Amino acid sequence: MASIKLNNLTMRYGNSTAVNGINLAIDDGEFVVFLGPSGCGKTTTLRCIAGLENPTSGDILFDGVKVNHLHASARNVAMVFQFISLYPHKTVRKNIAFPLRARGLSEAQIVEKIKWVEDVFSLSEVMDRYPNSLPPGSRQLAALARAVVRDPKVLLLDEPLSAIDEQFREEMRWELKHLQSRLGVTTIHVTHDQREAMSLADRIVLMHSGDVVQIGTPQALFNDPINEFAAHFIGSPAMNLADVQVASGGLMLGSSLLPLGSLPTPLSEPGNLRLGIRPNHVQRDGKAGEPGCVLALIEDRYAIGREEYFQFSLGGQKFVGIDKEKNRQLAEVGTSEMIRFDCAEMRFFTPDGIKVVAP
Amino acid sequence: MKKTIFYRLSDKTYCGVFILPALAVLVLMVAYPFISLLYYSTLNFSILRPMQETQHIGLQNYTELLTSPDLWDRFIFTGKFVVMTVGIQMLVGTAIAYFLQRDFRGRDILFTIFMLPMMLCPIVVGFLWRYIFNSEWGMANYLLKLIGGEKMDWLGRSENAIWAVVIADAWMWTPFVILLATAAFRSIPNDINEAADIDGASPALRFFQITLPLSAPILLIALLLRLIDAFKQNDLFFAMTGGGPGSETATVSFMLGKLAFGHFYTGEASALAVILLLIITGLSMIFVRYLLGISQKG
Repeated sequence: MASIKLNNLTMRYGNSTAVNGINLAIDDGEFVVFLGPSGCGKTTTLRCIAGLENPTSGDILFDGVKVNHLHASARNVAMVFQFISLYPHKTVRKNIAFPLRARGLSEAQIVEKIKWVEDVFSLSEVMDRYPNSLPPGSRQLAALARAVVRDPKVLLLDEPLSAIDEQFREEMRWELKHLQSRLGVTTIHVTHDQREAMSLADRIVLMHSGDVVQIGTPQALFNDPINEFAAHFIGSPAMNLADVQVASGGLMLGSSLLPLGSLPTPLSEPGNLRLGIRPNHVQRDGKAGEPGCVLALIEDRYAIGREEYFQFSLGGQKFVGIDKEKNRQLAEVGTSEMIRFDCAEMRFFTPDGIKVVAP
Repeated sequence: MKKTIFYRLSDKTYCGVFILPALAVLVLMVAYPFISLLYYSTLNFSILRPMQETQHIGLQNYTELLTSPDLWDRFIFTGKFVVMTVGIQMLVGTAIAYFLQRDFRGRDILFTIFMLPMMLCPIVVGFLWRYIFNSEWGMANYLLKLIGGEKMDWLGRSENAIWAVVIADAWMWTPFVILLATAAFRSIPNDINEAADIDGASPALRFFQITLPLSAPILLIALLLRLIDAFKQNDLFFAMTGGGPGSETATVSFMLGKLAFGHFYTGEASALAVILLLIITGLSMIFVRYLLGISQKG
């Protein structure tokens, strides 16, 4: 196990910058998820930590010791790749034995270690089968077993669940979280799936275009996004975002006024802003004249399982809300309803997307 | 527009029309010669003699050939040549391919240069190496003297001549192994190589445990093709040694050529050709079995 520190890590390919001077400290035993859209530099950062890429500049430290010059094989990191991780010509047992043999362990030690992961990962049924004959889930579980069998300092996971069916992925997420906390190994997991990140991470490192946007617990990122990108990227369905003008008594969306009892603290003076509010804070139980309540025409509705979504426009800008009360009558397309925006859950951003902080 | 005849054909006939030319060529160039070969191999036939005097002699050509100690000597010599030349080609070819698999400046040019010998006409290669191995003014002896060695009679003594031809054959055909092995090595997914890196595998362990087993199917195909080709090697012996001294460096296929077009024992030569065909087919079938076994695993 080890703590990891990145100091001003930069990676350039020719003229394009993949990672732009990242600073990050990861605690011993922590489960950190690098989250971001494709091309944000998360995988490149991971590969630098693994030793598969040489950073253009900046330092990588394990337990305070610089490891930049160390080859991947000397860093004692383990990695699980997105697609093909296992050696296709070896059985699962031989795959798991390979890193142990490479390190010159005795046959008795190897047998003991293999027995251990076989039990931890419940792999006994697949040990003597070839990877290609296994379903993707068991394959990645075996790859994970091979990764942790030699007690790595750091476990690196490069979208290990993305090749697995949605159905089984949920199960694998639980498994992964359980295993990580049981083994206590410092883990960095790369994904573009925010649900995966939210469910697994102790802390999320949200990345965009080679920069770190925000670092924090899943809850902190969800509740308090630092900018519009973070607000939009995390949460499903995505946060509603709209142009508003601060006016006396409320917010103007085009020609409609959204009355607010008192202006929320960040808003002191009139001006153009971006309003962000999550769909679960937009309800159909508004009362005329109350703060945050406004009449709107329901334009569309759909349901996913027990969740009812409805859509409406204010000043030409679309919003999505979620019905919380299960027994309520369903929204009817084409009727006008009193919508309630939860004033306490409104977030405000400047027109160029930065969070507005109370003065 | 008037409909041409092709529009009125059924699909089956339509396909047949397209296959017909290829089929005709195949029958003319393969089936007919093969059947006549089988037929001639049962006759005491020579193309220099009128057909009236030839008789059916059953399998006599075969029994005579297979009981002749000379033919067995030729088989042993051929086997020795095949093992030596293919062994060198596979080892050297795989080693060079291993270094050519990674990208470096000038790799493509180097690769092209390595491929050149394969493009030459075999008989030209034969004469080229015959000059190189000339005992009086050849390059080989010149270089040997430069490093303080003794002049050697390369082509006049059979124990040297086999090496001379092995070197020439390996020079010409190692590129083929390089070509296939490079392709095989490069087809291994990068993730696998990186996984091995991270697992802490040394270059040797990685080569023998990962690279080699994963490229085995393609390397085996290279081996099979090289074995068949080396077994049939004729041109180099023709150009370099003429089968001599005596007939000590004559391979089976060289002997076949001599029987057929030197002595014009057409019947006997046909029988020998059938024997060679059986051997090569047998060899190929073993490999194909093995290849199928590999590809079905996992």
